[in-house]
Amino acid sequence: MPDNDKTKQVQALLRPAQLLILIAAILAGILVAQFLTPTVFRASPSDLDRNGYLLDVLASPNHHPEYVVLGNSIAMQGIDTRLLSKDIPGHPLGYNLSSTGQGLTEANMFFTALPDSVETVIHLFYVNQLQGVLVIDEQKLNAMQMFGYRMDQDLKNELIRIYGFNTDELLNQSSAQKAFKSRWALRQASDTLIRDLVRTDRDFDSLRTELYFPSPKSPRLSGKKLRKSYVDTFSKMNKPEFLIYYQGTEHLDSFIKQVKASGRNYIMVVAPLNPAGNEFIPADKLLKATEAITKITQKNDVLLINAIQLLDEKDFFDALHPSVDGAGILTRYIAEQINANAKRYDLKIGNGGEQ
Amino acid sequence: MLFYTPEFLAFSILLLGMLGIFHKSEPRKLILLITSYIFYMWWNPAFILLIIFSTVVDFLIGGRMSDETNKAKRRLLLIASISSNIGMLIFFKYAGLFGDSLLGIMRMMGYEPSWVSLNIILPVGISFYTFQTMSYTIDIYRKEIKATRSRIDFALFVAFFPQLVAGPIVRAAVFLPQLDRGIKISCDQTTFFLIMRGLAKKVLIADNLAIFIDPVFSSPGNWPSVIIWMATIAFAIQIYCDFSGYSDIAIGIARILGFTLPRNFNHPYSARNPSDFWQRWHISLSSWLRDYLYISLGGNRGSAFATYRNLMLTMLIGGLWHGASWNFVLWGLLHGSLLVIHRLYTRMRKKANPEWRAGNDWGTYLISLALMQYFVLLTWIPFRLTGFDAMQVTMRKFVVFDFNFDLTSIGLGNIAFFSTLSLMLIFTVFTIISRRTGHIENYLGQLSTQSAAGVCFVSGIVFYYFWPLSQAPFIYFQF
Repeated sequence: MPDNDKTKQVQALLRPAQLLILIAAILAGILVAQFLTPTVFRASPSDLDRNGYLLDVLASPNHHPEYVVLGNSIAMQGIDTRLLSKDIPGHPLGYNLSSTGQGLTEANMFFTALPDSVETVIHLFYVNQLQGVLVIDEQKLNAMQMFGYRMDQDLKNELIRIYGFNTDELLNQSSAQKAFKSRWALRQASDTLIRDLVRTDRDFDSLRTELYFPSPKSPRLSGKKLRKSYVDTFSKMNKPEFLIYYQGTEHLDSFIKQVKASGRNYIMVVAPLNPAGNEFIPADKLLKATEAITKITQKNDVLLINAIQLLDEKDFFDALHPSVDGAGILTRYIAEQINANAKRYDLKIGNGGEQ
Repeated sequence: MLFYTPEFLAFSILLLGMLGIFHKSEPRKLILLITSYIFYMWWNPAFILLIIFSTVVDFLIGGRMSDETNKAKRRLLLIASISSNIGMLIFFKYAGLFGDSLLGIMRMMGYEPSWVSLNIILPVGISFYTFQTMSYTIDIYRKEIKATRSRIDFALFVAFFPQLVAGPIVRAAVFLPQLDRGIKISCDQTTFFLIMRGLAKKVLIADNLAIFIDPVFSSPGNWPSVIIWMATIAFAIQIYCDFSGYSDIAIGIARILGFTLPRNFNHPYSARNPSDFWQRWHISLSSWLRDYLYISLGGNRGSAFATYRNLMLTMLIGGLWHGASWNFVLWGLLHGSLLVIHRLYTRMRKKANPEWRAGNDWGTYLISLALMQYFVLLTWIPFRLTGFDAMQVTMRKFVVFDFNFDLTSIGLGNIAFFSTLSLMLIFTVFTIISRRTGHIENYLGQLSTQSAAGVCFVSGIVFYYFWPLSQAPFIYFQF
């Protein structure tokens, strides 16, 4: 198999005008791609598609939820709003707007996009979120922009106040800059498309478009896989730098105040933790985190539903996420707590506690 | 200053503008020399002194050696040149390694030395330009070339910016005569697309593969064999595209300035045996090691044992050339062993049948190709992983396959699995096509301006979407 270079070397020199045409053609390609990026981004499947879908729902005149659930994948798999509505008097319409890795800033952004029909925000808060010192992952921020979200100046100012450092630089990027940084969409699309085909064990459509219980209903892990899930997850949480940062508590406090100032009720649910994690995370760390959360909710006089120790190990399908049975237990517990405390906190959800 | 940064674009425009003002050869050479120094100083201005030192020493020694007829004195001059270059290389590149190793040994023996680890910054490109200047004095000593009398020509030979920091390593016999022809600026369409090809290899393939490779090799124990295999193959492609991409750009830029640089790669992953591989991989270094080290050690002129010893020594030093780390020594040792085993095998077969030659049919071709590339992949593991534990785990998972194909438990979302697989497939298809039909830039060079502009337009779109969000510097800069 010898090398076989059959082509002839062309030595014709490029005239300056020809060279300029070639360079201009490259630049034209770049400009066209930049112009098309928002459209390409929306058309390309990715794990952030749910955010785009939720923003579309919130902007649509056809959706009038009375309450919404915000939170990360634990909320996606842990709270079934159909079940919750059934257990609350008046059976209000509730949407589960949680999304994968939804942090405080993302939840805050969804809150500012809520329609007027929403009277109550149920916020499932994962204790680890108190460790956040970054305002938001840049890719997520760009994705929200590509999906049409525009952050108002008040929220920008508040986030800059809380997170400081380079937050203003990040939040005040031009649309062109954000589009440029969202150009990874095509690569992501190829991964997402093929993964969705191969991973038949997961319901990815539900993850993107389900408004009540976005759980992919994954089968419970067992044996080595479950153990690996524990080690991977809890070891990360139990880093020596597990600290409660000012940014985490300050943003939580600010978020609650924003919800209250909009005339809505805020309900905090502290996400359940898998008891298997006790082996990895010292109890004093969790106690410190829940105390900080309690302090903030008490200060703002909002309902705190502490579900941190609600579930048994068998109620989780992996280290973090409740199984369908676990979700049932958590959802019913939230309904019970809402019903029991409706009058005390003057909750509008569920007829204010009237049967 | 990396070739694909806005600074380099500004640098090139400025250089071409200045060269355009002057039409005589000498001022153009001077401008090219000064801009080459500026290019180098962009990383660390102080290290330009090392290049100037190496230039002055070898220019003076070369000139003196050329005039000298006394063999002993010529030998002394050669020793002085080699000592200054190797001394500089040892100090800046290997002092830390040897110091740390000595420190470790002393601690193992129960002594606690009073000195601490050396922390010496490695000057970029030092391994390339010291080898280049050494070849100049060795060639003069061997009377293969005559010393140049032009200081500027010699300084430009040492510091010519397109290949200064990562090669190809150019011989004086190849470069200096080109300077006599003067610097003529011109660009043909083939050269234009050669630079584009180099850029595409670097940013579209190598940098995109890094997104998959880095997380896998940062914790190899977490991944099954199938992912370790994929990461190893991806690394083989990454390092090839990274380095040969740089070489393509360097050759293209040199061509625009009127210089022809030697080819550095020739489809290395189609090599069928170890010596074939080294005639295809980093050709300018392997031929340097062959001509100046292996042959100087005696080559294959002595006994069989001496030949094997020379091969092992050459590859060990070749490994160490890549970096001050024991994993590169292991890499060199493995390649040296492969060369020795291959020689032994060939010798044994020829002893049994003097007419024996490796078969050229498809079956033999594929078996020898697969076997050779298996070992090439295996040797990339110590090249990529510096930590002994990680290296050992990776090699074990590579050799002893665990047959775990459960895609649900390997965190595919974190490692861009499928897009990496697609990239590897695209690379393979392009390689097979270019091997059978010739390099793509030769075809593109023949297109009409309109068609070429169309290709550029599409390339602009592809570059935009697949240029990674963060770039890494060229891997071979560290050597």
